[in-house]
Amino acid sequence: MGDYAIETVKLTKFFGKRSIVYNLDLRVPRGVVYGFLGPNGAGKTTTIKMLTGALKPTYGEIKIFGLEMPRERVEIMKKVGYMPEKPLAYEDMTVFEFLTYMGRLSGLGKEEAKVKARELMAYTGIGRLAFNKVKELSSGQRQRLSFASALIGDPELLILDEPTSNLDPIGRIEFIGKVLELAKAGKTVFLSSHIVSEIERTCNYVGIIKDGQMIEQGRVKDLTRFESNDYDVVVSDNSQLIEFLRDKVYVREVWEDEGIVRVHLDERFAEKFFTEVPAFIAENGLALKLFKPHTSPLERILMKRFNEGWEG
Amino acid sequence: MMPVFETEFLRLLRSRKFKLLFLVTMFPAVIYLLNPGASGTGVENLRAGFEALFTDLLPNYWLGIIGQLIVVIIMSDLIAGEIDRGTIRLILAKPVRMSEFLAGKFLAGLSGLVILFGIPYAVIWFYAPLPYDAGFDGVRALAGDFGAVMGSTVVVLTFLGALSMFLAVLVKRPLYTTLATFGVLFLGQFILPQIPYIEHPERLTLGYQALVMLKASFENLNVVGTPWETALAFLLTSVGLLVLTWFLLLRQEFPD
Repeated sequence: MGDYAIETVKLTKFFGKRSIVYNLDLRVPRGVVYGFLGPNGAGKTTTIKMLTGALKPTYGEIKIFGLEMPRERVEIMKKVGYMPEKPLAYEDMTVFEFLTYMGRLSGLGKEEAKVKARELMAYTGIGRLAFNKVKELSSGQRQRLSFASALIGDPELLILDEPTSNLDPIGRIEFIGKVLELAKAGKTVFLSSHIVSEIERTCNYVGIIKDGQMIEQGRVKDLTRFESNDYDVVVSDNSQLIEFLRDKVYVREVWEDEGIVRVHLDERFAEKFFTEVPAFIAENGLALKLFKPHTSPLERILMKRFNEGWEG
Repeated sequence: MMPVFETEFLRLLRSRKFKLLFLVTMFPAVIYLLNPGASGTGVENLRAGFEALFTDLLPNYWLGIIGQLIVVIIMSDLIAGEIDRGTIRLILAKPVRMSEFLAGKFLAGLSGLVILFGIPYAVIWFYAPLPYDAGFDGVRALAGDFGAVMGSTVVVLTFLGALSMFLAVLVKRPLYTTLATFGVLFLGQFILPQIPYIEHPERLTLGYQALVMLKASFENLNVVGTPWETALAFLLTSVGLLVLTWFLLLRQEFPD
């Protein structure tokens, strides 16, 4: 069990007679960025609350770095940073005081905690708010504070619950950059989200949860390898391209939609599409303006399994 | 335990609630400064006056209904506030033992209360020798009585604090915890003792028991009981309540 940063066996949580999480086997290898994907109400936050000790499993096991949760919570939390879905902080404290306090709770000395708090305020872009009270912060600024608080003990594993839900688009891009930086530094990141594009851009592992049960888990590239796809292409003369593609064996259907040529491929011969189309474009002196999958592979896996209630 | 204690203690001292409640505990001391009502001069008269003052004010004001309410307001919020606002999940996600968290919170609250009650007591202790013309000898002569007053107050505050924290873990909302604790105290001191077969119901108040503890230093107190036994009973009950609180905290879930 020690090979995984997080491992759960038949993790189950009932509230009354209703199961929120059911027989969940989560396996998060060390050093990966793991996307925990599922629609609202799928059981992501309940799972995370069990991982961080706020809820106790009805049955099942949780091991984090081989240590048993909740029995060895204190030892586990020396290695874990947690960012809750709803940023939590003491409203009457200043940003600096709060981070220093969190640092001290993480086991840092007084001065060390202050130094680390200053560093992280700068890193997360809230340095100028150091002496503002938490209650004066916007929701995005609270989210950044919460991220800084998760990082303050220099954890090996970061558990981030919907970390970008209150961030603006620039903030999201910055955040994804920072997660990738942390991953490069060897941290394990467990990131829950219902936003597919976010998971795709950030994670190399993914677990998909539906109605409290794991329905797919593994490397993103392994899961998406065999997925067929539609492609979007735009060239300087779309009609020429459509004419070229119309009778090709690898094309099931081709049509133009708002200036974009949409190609539905036959996956058995898809390789030819990637060799013949670029050659055709070059030979005919066309300018290539767009060439991309119509939907992301991960999104299409999800669409197969969820018929409704999906956001993102 | 130290980070929780230090942070909570400073938060408490800076809070508006603490400043407001300080005005309430200071009120009798201010009245005393304005009108000490000294009966004679010298150390003997000073001690008699000091003891009479505290025999009256301790059970009727500082450890009476008003004082008890102050303690409950402060102590109820320490744990119930964390549960209610969800910040206890931040604590759980840090390498802090529940026992350290509880001890830090409890000692921070108790230290705040000692300041809240200790300052008015000390003001009277240091000021009383002036109207009695007793000088520094008077301050020294009152040291034992002041110690007894502080000691008996701290014992009662410890009990009230432990009871508030215990109920906080059960009730989980600061306002409801305050009401529940106050309800339990009122019931225990003023309603249940009215059951006909209970003899001497007046002895079942915290104020009365505080007077029993004052007997360790005060002279001529007409109360029944042994100071050390009373103090021990309160402290053991407080420890029992805190252990139960810790036990409940370990078993609690914090979904929101």
